[in-house]
Amino acid sequence: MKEIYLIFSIVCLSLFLSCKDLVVTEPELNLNVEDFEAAWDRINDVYPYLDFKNINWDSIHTAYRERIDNAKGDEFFIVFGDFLAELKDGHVYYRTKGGGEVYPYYPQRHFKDRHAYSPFIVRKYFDKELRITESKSVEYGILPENIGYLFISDFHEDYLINEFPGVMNYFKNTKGLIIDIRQKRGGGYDNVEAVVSRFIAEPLEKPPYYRDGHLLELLPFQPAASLAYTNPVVVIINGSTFSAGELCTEVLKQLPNVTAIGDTTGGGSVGSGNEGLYFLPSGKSIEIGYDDLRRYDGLPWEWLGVPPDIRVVQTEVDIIAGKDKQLEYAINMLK
Amino acid sequence: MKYLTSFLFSLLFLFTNSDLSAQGSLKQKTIFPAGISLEYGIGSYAVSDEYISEEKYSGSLPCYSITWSNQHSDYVYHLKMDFSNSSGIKNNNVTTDIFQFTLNQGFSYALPEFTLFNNPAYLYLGPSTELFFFFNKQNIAVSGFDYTQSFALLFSGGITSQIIYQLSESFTIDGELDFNILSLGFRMVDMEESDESPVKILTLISTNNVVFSLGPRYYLQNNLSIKAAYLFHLTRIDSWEPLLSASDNVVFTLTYGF
Repeated sequence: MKEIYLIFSIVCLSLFLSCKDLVVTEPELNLNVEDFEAAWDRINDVYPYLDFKNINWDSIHTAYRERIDNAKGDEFFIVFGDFLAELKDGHVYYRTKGGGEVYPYYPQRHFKDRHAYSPFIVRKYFDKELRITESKSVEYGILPENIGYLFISDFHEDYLINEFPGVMNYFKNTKGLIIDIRQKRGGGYDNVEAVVSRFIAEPLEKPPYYRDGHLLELLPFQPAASLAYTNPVVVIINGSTFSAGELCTEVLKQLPNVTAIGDTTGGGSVGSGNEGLYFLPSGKSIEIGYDDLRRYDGLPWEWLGVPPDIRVVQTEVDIIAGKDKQLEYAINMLK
Repeated sequence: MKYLTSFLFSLLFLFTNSDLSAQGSLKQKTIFPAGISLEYGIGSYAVSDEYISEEKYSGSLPCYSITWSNQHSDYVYHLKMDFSNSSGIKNNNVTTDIFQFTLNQGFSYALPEFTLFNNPAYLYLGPSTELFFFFNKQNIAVSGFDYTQSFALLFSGGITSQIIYQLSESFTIDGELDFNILSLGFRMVDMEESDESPVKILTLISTNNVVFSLGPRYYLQNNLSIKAAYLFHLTRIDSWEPLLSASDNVVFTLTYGF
């Protein structure tokens, strides 16, 4: 009888301890291979820099298809992340079925400079609190000796289209202006245009813009209706300046009253915004840009970045010491 | 400071005086193990959170809880906090961090006593309210920013029920079943790709949060008991991208009665 109780107890315990597996089961199938193939095809079809980066996309397929075949369950994400990282493109990301963006690659110059700027250190150079726009995309104020300062944090939505005119109106009587575009990630062409239009007195040709290998005919930047800001301007950039921030820098650099200082930008010139989001068979998605934006010298700023006119190196050590050497250099230029 | 002192004094008074005029008779001899209970459990956990992935993640998920229950004249009130966390929930070589928190309170009313196999059995049944929070953060990013995470939050009204089967003066078998009926649910939604509301009213059809436990309790003294039990916890939320989790646990409880 004791043996029966023992066996009964063990059976009950086993059943109890496996209840969770009866409830939560493995998915019947996954579409990992289909997702990989669709992603490979999409990149092969639209990505503009495979030749520029000298990537043999066929050999990437050969190398990763085997890894994908061997990946079990969500190990797919690890292999897929490595696969997308082969593009070495800071714009490229994937999204899990419902999750946010996962960036498999960040430009090395971003890693170098990501701690070489601090908004808290910048604030030390001001007598009073900085102003901030409603969307929080621009923080601005006037430094001693009547030098204007504005930090652009975001070129997305239509923030700058709506708010930048008001910001520039605040600076109309300053003797010089600092535009800080450090620690910046992307945005839209329209917002770059909203910024540039405040600094030009006559139309300015746009840099080359290719789609599907064809050069687009773009209308030049037009000056805004009100007076252009023609006093000296210093744009501060570093390795974390990226995408639309780089476009803005490249265009402003063409103006005679503008000097870019700091360090070379991150290097991401593939474009397309949200239209680049491509859905894979399982519902996951990837962001693969198809527009190829160029500097005025005809080269993409992908990988190459936009170099400053005057290189002023700043490191995390400077920030820890409470100094913003790049900002100080800009102030001294405008004094 | 004055308020803090008053609060601490009130707490001290509450725990050291078992007869409060507004609480009914606490000296009434009942079988219900009222008092303070500390619980530790180790369990086998599995989850499929389709907001991120349809894959099943599983692993060991320890849980800790503290319960305060108070015997009133015609009901037992309980307040329970439960916490569990693990970074080792895996799908093959991919891990995820799981965090769960539950705050549950309820009122248990005694039903008529009955006899089962010549031993007395006591049933309790009543309403409960619960706050349940689930957070899942998957470690699949290579570097930089990542947002592969999801959460669910439930404010629920439900039922709490207990059965106590008395084998001897110092030995009982305790069972418990708690489940939600109606919930106000919050779930992470993909704001960029979906217009779905992150807040919904949820019924039993779309959402279940169920806890079942069964195990023996032994009274070391009149007011001190230990319990070892099997505990099963099921969470199912189907109103958004489905979330399904379940755990089999062995829990150990120390209860001090007052």
